[in-house]
Amino acid sequence: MTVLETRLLNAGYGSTPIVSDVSLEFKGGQFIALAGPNGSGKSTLLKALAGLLRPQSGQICLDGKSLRDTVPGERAKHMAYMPPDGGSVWPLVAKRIVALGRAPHLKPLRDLSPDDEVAIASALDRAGVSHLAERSIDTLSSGEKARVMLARTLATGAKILLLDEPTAALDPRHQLAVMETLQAEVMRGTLVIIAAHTLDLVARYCDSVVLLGDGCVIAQGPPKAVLTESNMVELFGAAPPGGVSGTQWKIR
Amino acid sequence: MSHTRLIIALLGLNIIAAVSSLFAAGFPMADWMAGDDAARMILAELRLPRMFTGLIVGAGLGGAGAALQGYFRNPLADPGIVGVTSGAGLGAVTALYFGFAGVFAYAVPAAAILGAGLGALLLLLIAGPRARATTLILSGVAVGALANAMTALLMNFSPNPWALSEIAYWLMGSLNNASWTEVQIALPLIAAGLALLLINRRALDALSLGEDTAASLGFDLGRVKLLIVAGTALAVGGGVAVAGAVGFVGLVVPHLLRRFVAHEAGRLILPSALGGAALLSLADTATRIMSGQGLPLYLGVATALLGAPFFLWLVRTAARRAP
Repeated sequence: MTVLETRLLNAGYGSTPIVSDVSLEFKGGQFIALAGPNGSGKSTLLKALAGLLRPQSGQICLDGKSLRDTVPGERAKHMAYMPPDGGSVWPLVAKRIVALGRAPHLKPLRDLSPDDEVAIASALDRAGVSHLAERSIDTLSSGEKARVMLARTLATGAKILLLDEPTAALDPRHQLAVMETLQAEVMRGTLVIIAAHTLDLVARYCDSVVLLGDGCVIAQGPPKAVLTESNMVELFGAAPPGGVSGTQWKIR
Repeated sequence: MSHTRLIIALLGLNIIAAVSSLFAAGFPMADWMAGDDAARMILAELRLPRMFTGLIVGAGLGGAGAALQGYFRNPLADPGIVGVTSGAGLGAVTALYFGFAGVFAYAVPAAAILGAGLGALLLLLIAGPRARATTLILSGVAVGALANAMTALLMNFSPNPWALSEIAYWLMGSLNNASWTEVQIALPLIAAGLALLLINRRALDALSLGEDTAASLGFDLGRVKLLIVAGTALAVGGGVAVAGAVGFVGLVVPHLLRRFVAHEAGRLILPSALGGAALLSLADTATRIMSGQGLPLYLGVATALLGAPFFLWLVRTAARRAP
């Protein structure tokens, strides 16, 4: 099983750490949320986990092997990362964007193999955007766009998905669709880690929440135990009475 | 249009450009048909090398333009923007100014390539190895400004009007001096440059989704940047070395062809190289036809006159589309 762990991780830009002394362990089949106020280090931690930010000190290990010793091309097969409000600079066709997720698997000078085509079709299907495959990305709504980007992440075939605010700026139906797609991946044994502000969605779908404040882990555990009224007041200066409860919305 | 059909169409355009470059604009067709030696000489020693130089230089400019637009993720990028063209220009002008050109035949091309390389190196020094695309654009503008200032300084101090006019005419860009020597110089440099750019086509595709996504897909962006800068220096420097400064080909061609490759940055490089070859060659033929006796129209002036309004139009539409 996939294990991703950090040991006394310090990461940030330049020499000032944004996350400090973070020691965590995640396993395949878990749905993890990184929560906390703006600037608490969620995105930085996610980028460090994705290998996009070199740790200032401490270690990140993937299946017991330091991420630093893993070449980028190899790492990309195991981990997929989705940036916040990701999009495409050029008005590419949705299917071609999803195909970019196969880049780590392509051999030099070869085009997409039948295996790649299968992975692309499956990713489009799992993200629920097969019907948009031939559309140009600039003709899609932000909800549809976000789900195409999600399909791109799934097409990588990685056992670890790291997504920075995958539900930001989406309407309720697209929010639920994205979370359910991710939940289905978790059921397949994938480790999914998201940075999120939509705490009612987190409370409903995630197995575990890592609460960050000022770059330090404040609490970690099941949503019910972590997203409590007192923790919310302490971190956000605002809270729902009785703590965050899972959203009751359903797709109909 | 499928990719193969696009390539075939562009190859066809190149054949038209090549044939018109050989036989248009005052070629003594009747004499040649009659087997006249002078006509054969004109064809073999003037027309053929001129045709090849035009195609090769255009291919370098078009391919480099496409690669840069893909790398910067900006349709306004052009080989001129990273300062490589100005660097190459400064190198060549230095050789002309100090009279090296008279000392040995390869002085001007060698100096142009050296200038392009130095411009690219300076760019990397200013921007640093981990610079983002925006920083690189700004650094490119700075390097270009520095090179242009130095060129202006040399023209300022030029010892006599002849030296000044030699520099000025050279900077306008033309294929008037194209011989087989120019082909020999430009071909290997530009081919190597285009090869370096083509290696990165998948990375350029991935960069459409942003630098973080591209890095997460396993692309080493530091290496990509080095290859793009080196490839551009060779493809553009090699062209400036033999034809002077010919602008806007690298801007216009990728923009016209982008829709035929479904806006995919990597797949745009090869068609743009072919399109650039055809466009530069056709533009050269057109300027020769328009040039009167003793009144030569310079190729670089013609492409600038056509390219600058296109650039303005592009800025207008880009501004209107931006949020």
